[in-house]
Amino acid sequence: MLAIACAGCAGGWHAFPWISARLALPAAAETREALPPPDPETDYLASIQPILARHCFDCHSEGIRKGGVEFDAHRDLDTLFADRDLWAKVRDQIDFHLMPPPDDPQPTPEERQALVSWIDNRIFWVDPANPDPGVVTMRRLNRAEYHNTIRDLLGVEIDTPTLLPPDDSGYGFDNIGDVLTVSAAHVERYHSAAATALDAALVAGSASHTRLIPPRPHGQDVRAWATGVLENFALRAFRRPPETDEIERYLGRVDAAIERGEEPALGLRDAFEVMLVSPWFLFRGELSGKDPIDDQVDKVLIDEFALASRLSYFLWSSMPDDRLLGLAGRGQLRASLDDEIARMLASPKADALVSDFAGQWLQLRDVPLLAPDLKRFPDFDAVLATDMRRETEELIKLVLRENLPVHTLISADFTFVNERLARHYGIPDVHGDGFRRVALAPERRGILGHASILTLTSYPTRTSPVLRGKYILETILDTPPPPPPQNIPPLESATADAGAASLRAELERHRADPNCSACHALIDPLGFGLESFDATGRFRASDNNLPIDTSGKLLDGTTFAGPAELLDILATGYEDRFLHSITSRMLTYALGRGLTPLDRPAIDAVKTKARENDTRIIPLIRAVIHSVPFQYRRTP
Amino acid sequence: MNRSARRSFLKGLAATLALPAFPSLAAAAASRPLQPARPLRMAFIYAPNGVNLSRWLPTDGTHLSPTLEPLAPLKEHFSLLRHLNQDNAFANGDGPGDHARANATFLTGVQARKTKGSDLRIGLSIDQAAAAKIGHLTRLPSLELSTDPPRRSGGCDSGYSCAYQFNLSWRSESTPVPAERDPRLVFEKLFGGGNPEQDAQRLARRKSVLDFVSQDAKRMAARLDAHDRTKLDEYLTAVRDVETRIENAGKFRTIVPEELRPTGIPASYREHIRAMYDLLVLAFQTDSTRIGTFMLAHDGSNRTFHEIGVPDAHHQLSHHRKKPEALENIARIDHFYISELARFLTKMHETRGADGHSLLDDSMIVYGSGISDGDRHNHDDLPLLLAGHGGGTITQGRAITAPKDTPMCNLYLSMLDRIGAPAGRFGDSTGRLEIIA
Repeated sequence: MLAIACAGCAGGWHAFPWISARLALPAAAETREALPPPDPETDYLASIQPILARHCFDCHSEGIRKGGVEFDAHRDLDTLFADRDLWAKVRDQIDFHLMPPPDDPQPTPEERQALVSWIDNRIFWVDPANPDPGVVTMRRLNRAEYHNTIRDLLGVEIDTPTLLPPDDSGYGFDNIGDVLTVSAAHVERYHSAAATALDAALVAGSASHTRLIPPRPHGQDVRAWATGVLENFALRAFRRPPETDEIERYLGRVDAAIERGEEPALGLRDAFEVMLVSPWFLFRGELSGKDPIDDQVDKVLIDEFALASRLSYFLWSSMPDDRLLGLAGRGQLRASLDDEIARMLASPKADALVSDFAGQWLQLRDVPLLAPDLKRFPDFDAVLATDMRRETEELIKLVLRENLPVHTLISADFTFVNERLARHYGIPDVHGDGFRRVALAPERRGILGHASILTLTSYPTRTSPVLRGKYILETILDTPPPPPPQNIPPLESATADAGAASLRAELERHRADPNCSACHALIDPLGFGLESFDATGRFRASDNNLPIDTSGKLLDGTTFAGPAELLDILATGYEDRFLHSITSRMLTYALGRGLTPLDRPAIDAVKTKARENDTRIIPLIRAVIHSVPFQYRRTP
Repeated sequence: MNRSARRSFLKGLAATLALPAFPSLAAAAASRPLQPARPLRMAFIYAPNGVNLSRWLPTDGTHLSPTLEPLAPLKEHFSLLRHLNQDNAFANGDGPGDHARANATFLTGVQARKTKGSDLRIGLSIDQAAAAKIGHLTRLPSLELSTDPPRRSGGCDSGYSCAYQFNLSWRSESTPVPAERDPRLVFEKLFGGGNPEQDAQRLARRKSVLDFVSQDAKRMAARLDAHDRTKLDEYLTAVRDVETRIENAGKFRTIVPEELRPTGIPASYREHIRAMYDLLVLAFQTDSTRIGTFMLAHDGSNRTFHEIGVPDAHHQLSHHRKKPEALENIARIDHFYISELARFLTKMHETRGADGHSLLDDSMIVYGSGISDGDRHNHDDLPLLLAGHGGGTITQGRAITAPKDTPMCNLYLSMLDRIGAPAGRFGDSTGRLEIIA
């Protein structure tokens, strides 16, 4: 029985008594009761293990654990099936043809599909009727959010990068609750920033002063007036209605000022200052859900004020406005969610999605930090870097404004340039600083033809097919290649003047090493296809007077002759993968946590909704907001 | 011996030696007057991406080499350290990510938990361990400096959260201490905003504000899930740290060297580094703090060095693959950093503390990288220097060669003894490094 189940493996699994124990016990079915309805084991032994045995076990069992992957190091099958990290890794390796290594016999497409489906449907099975919303750690406002929140709360712009320490990031974003730590330096600087912002906002007679501390109506009691001012401020600062005793406490600060013989307004300023250092302001605390609204005991809908905050920090990187708070207060926000999403996306505040979400997903925020070697690229300067970033941002804004399909980002046959950038690209007849839409020659399509991305993925002195290939895999296709093996230096040499031809030759020579070929056969061709663009994104026909070979072959066998064909293959053949990429990155950003395999139903739901709508961006954003992890909290 | 074998061997050694020796070590530290009567200072300076070892290592048995040549005039005041490791910066089963680990382990000696963010865990750093014991003796418990440029977006090294790669100093196993990169703000932290009366008012207000928000935090905790309460604990710890600082600010008065107040971040990297070193000297001279860390750049940094004619990105260059041109450029970067270190140490030597002794006499300065050879990503026999005489407890002017594979944390234990914060163990320490005496 065992020999049948393990056809092809050289007897090593005999050493694992758990297999025979498990198979000898018909009562094992009992233990399945506690597991989700689909039974991983039946399929596994019948159709999955034989494929693994044929193609994987030689390097990943019996103590051989190449790449840290070993299938038989588990105590029993349940433990093996419970190792979700392992199966997530296996799934990607199989799905993206990273494994088995290219020179080894390959599984048939049907076998690959069987493995991927089994992992998706069995290992990562989640009851669609009761998906898990996961756990979000209470998020501290990051620098961008703090800046925008102060702007919208007080009506002043402050120099946040100078006032606050930088934020650490995780999962590619700087709004991840677990990573947004607090130190003494933060507390000190938050207090200084609050004082600075209030000094600016409460200039006597200014519009912001009048709005925050309206004059006391003639005859109104000072405390009644102060209470109203504080209630209004606390509602907006804490993004929820304040409680009576809470306001009483803050009112104590006003009383104290009056006792000291100060103007009541000074006491109000003092109370504001305290509120801006309070954890209720600095953190997006979501009240514990003690009363499940529906009969699902393990999760609750977040309350409408929490929803207003999730919504506004996702789309605006800022606090909810009065309208959102009003709707939440009346319990009508959920009912009018889609209208509100449309309204919010039409607001200029939604530019935060471009600077904060796309800025980090596509790494556009780093474009101003680029430092190409000015000896080799004398026309590069800080102004041109700004233009480069602007070009990509303009395309993203267009997609948002006109609700275009998301693949426009990689397929657009037009772009936005001003005179400087047009000169950089060699596009004639564009004059002035303003950006305008122009048609593109076929070798440039979408952001992968933008100077911003092409420079971001180059070294200061030369192009890097490896960096570009890696960027496409990670960012565009959400298929990060596994990191290089330990202590094996990167394929590319550090020499500056190798030239494209010798670089390609060097990369291809090193790919003969089987340690490298598994991944680099996937990475490098993508980069070769973009070798027509130099390290600042200019078109070039030759390098060091040698012609450039921009042809390549993808792992699935597709060949291309140059950038036009490569970009076309990516935009059409990998459209669904790109949809997956933007969906998973956007969910990560919207939730402020890393995704886990348990989020697969949410990702699938968003993708399905998007596909039903021609993959247009606004339905996709809407589906993210309607997703279970966005709408619910897991109960403790 | 391969790495994992050596690792388990070392672990075994630690188990057999360290455990019974535990109480007696503390006793030994107490009986032997390691801590001089005069107060000491300690600083840790981090340079990223390893060095060109062929130029760094002396060939003539001395502690001078082509890269270290700028330190020749100070040769009586520093030593080269050999064979110190940060073994927990190796993969040890965690796969790639040597830059994140090099950075995270340098001052902690602890294996960073591999996470992109959901559950950060490393360990208390050496500077914070010292600050916890002697930080109350000065106005600021410690000072954290950096000349790293604004952080890049996107992911960090191979599955590690950026927190590991951008911070040297850790207040707890999950809370990093952010370093300051604006010299003006460092000066303000040390000496206030320039108007003592306003500064005093601001601190009084801050104290009152923090008293109040501590109550907010407690009320909030009652309304949140347990998971979120740990964030509030972090917040409350930070609030208490600030309250302590405010108390200390009242206890220690200092003259403000107003003429030295910086205006902002200098445009040139060299000037930026100098401004930070100058502030460190000033902080020690005025006894504003006795503990400093300075990250020149984070490990894996791709900074370019146009000002010394190296247009390549540092990390890319560090994968030199033995190509002479790349090695030459790495040596130039190393030389650049060492020149600025020499300038700092000279200033430390020439500056007298309040008690009239040279600051360098009464200091322990560790300089180095968490990677040895950038092309190999190895964390053994790290390129390290130890400068300053530790109040006469350290014999300088030599190559200090430890037994092969000695944990760098052994050095830290010996430093903790001297500064008056003795510990039984730190990170992966297996004992003390008394050959520095």
